[in-house]
Amino acid sequence: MAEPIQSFLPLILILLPILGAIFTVLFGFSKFKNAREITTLIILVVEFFVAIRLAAIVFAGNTVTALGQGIFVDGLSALIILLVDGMVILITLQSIRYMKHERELGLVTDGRLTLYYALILLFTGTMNWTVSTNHMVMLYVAMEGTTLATALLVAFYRKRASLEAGYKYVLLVVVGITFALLGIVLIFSAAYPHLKVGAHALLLTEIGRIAQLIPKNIALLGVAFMTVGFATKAGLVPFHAWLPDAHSEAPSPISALLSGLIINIGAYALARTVTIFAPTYNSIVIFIAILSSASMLIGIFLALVQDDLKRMLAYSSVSQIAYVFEGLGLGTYLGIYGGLFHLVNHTLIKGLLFMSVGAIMYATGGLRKISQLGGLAKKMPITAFCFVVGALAIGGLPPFNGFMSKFTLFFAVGEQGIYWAMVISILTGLLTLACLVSAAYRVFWRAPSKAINDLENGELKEVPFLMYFSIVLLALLCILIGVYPQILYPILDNATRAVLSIWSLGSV
Amino acid sequence: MTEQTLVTLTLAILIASIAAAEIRNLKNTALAYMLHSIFLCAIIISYAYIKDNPSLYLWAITCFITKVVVLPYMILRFVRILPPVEHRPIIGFGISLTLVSIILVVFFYLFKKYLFLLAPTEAAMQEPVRSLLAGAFTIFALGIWTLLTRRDAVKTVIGLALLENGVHLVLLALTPTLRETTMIGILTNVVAVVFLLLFLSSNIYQVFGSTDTVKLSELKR
Repeated sequence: MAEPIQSFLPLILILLPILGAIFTVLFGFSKFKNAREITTLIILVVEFFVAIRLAAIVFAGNTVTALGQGIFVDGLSALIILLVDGMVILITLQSIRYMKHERELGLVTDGRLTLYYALILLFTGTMNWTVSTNHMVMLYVAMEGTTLATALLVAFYRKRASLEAGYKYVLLVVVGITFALLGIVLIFSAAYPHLKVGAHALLLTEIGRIAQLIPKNIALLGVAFMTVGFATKAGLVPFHAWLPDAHSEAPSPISALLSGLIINIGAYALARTVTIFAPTYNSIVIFIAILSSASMLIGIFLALVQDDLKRMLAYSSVSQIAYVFEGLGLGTYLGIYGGLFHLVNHTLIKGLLFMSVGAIMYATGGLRKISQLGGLAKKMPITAFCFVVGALAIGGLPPFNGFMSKFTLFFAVGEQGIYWAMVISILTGLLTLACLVSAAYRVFWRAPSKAINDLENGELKEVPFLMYFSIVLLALLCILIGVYPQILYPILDNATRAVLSIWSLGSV
Repeated sequence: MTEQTLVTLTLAILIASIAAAEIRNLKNTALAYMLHSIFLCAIIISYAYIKDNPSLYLWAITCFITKVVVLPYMILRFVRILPPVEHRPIIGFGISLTLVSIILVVFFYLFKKYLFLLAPTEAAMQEPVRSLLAGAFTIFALGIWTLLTRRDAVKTVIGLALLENGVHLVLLALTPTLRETTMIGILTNVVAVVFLLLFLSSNIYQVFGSTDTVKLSELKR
């Protein structure tokens, strides 16, 4: 590996939004409180440009470090940083109209709105920190940070259901992550005799070297604890109890953030730790294949019986993030490549779908039950088009992006000879297609329900530009990546090699 | 200070943990947790002395501020607005205390006997680290037990705090050095988690009129 470049860019990515969050709160108390949306956006756009600059350095074949070895950005980190900083802008753009509407309806107060934008910024900072820290224990600290930053966003409406969802979210995810910490501590202590004299921390970049040195029982136990923890963060069955509640009770743009970004952290952490152990211990591959296959099937079956659109999408996330886990758990080039490809696609598609539901709720005055909707296609053609693109893409139909990543994963699983998992993945894909397409039909083309007819004439119309800008952009991206998957190839290839290069440090 | 002190402290912290988990009066629970944390700090200090590792004193101070002062203060403030006794747990007091004592003694014994499965290094197999590790895993198990059997939100928070303290003790026993920022990060995290949980609980208490987590079932599974 080439010598890492020292740069302060990652520090900007972490500190700028955190400072921005503080300023936003301060603004909230002053007479400039209406500046919060625009300051948030400006900070996020600056963030995005910094992220692009950093990514350009990394994808040119370098790695970037800061604070000595403490912060480390390689292809994988850069990929997720780009994804996070890009998505957060789109989410914030939709939030502006959506939350203003909620404010007008009297659902939220002005002060709470300030908190909303501050927490989005705080989340962005902690998320960038999570994917760029090189200390294994700090990875846990930063992960907890993302949970804490989003907890109040989940409980944002402070109603019965949202408080319940927020409480469950914090409790279950924190307990899960504590298990991961125990795993991290076990691996750390087993690795300690093999580290340099005076080392204070286990670096993620050193796991490849120590993976083959530490005793088998500790390695497997530590990996098991970490998998439980990261699977909780990602919302895999059976650790998913928090996910449908949190995703459905949060404001819709936040659902997109939770489903598109938060659960990726679990996958990221898995790729950084567990994946590195997978080539050494085949039992890890099988363990993760079983876990993710169960999650795929149970998730999609539960999604099929939901009437609440957001809960349905949430259960679909339980099932889709399992694809990512399955790929990353294989520990092969094709598996990791497919897993990361699907991670990117799932973020785009779920962002698209949740924000489309946000648009539907905006237009219909908060209706989100499939049985209460119907016949929206005529009145909301743009939203209908975007939702259908999302439904077909997540169902894995060509020529959309979901097809490409799912097929890569099918091949990756087949290549390892785990045919039962391949069959389950294909079956889940078909069920997902059926689930989403039937939901799209019932929401947009079935005869309008009573609730829709009850809305005053002319009240139901397409949402304003700021509401559909994000979803149209995401829908176009889904089609573009589906038709030209090679545009992502250099980035994904770099990220995959970054994961594998850490592993290969131990095998040479 | 001899190694015997550390073993004694390990037993003391186990008893304080059981008290924190089992006492039904919420205020006394918080005080028992405080006692547990004081023993935790004492363990860190004596460990620092035995291993001649001055960097651990900073850990002890941070631990004292976060776990002996801030956490019990937040819990005590919160329980002031609640009825004095927790919601009836799933298992009755006598049975629960007997069960938990038996389980923990068996756990402690098993952990100590089969520690080679969990402890990665030779050093971890020697006394007093061996007892300390067994104690740490036992506290971890007690935390899970409390989370599973208690319905009251305050008790859930205590369970979570015990769980975390168990892991922190494992960290102390197994990894001789740790960057200061890391341990401060871990400890402030715990404070933030407990603050958020209590904040949400107090909101829940205002809306639901109860801190019974079993009643949190508006959302379907």
